[in-house]
Amino acid sequence: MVKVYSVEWCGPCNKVKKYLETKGIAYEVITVADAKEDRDIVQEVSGQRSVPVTVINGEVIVGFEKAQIDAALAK
Amino acid sequence: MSKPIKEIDLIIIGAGPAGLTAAIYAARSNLSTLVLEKDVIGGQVRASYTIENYPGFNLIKGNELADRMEAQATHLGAVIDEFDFIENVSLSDEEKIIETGDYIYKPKAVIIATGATPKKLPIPNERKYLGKGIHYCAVCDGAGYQGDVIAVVGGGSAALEESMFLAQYAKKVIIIRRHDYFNGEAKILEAVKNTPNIEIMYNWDLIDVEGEGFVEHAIIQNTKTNEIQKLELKAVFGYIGTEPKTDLFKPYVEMSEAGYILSNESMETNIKGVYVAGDVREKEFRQITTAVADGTIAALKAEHYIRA
Repeated sequence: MVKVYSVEWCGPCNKVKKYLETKGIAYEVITVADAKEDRDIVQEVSGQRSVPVTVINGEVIVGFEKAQIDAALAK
Repeated sequence: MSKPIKEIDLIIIGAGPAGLTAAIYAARSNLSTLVLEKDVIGGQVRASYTIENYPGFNLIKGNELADRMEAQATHLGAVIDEFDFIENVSLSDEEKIIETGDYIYKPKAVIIATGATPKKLPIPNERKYLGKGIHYCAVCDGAGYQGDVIAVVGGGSAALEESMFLAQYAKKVIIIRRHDYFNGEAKILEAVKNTPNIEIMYNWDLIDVEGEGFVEHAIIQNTKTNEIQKLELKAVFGYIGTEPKTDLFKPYVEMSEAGYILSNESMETNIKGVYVAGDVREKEFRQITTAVADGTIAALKAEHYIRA
């Protein structure tokens, strides 16, 4: 399962989602803006605090990084 | 396997306000128009919290203005591709070639509207703490610092506006400002001064950040007295200006020393049929309004060139 940790109004977050949609990949969105505890999940998963964080086949990708997303999907 | 070749009237590189405005004009002129965008459609506008100096709107959220510009361009028939990245360009008076991951485009004209990107904070630990307390997008990462003390570095309107946004979440926002004045708009500065949980530290400069894995404090230095202080905080957001995104074009297009593309007032570069618009252009004022003006002129000139 692909997971996208994101906030609603962040450009790169929405770009990740749109890209997964163009590839027909189902994903789960974890919206992390509402509480600090939610943001701590981002830190636990990725070791840092920026969004988006995308988890694909165990691979953790910070930001919109097309090449990394493609490589993780191809695994 | 060689890539398919596509001939097209106009390629606009960059989908910020300049590129999208050029796309609106080009599409209305019935030019076949493709806009290529590597990052986010809307550019720096999409990362801005609110905009209060774009005519027609007293106040509009950055992402909403970006959505409106994008919708207008695509509604008129401009195509925006934000997933096919440019790998190579070759620009001359006679021929323009833009090679992406998927295609080789041969446009009759090109508008460069790649814009500018926030400057990195010039401190030794910038890389080490990137995403771990060093940030450049308040609307993306600000909410993570709910109830914390954080800082903003910078002196323009962006620094002030984003401080206002961050003050909604943070316990306290400290603006670290090298000088004893701001370059930002008077209205925003007034609003900042009236926000109880924003503190302005005039004449202080950020020297570095430190912490156990994540930022725990900033080291700042007084620019008048050289006094050093340690500030306990969780994050520093950098808004110290921008730098142009021009690497692809360096071999072809004439640029200023700082890397901005030179043009005349018709947005023409040194290459026939190659125009420049927006923040990437060498000019005095970089505003959304000046970007859309550049985009307009570039598209109209490109149309004349293509139809000549």
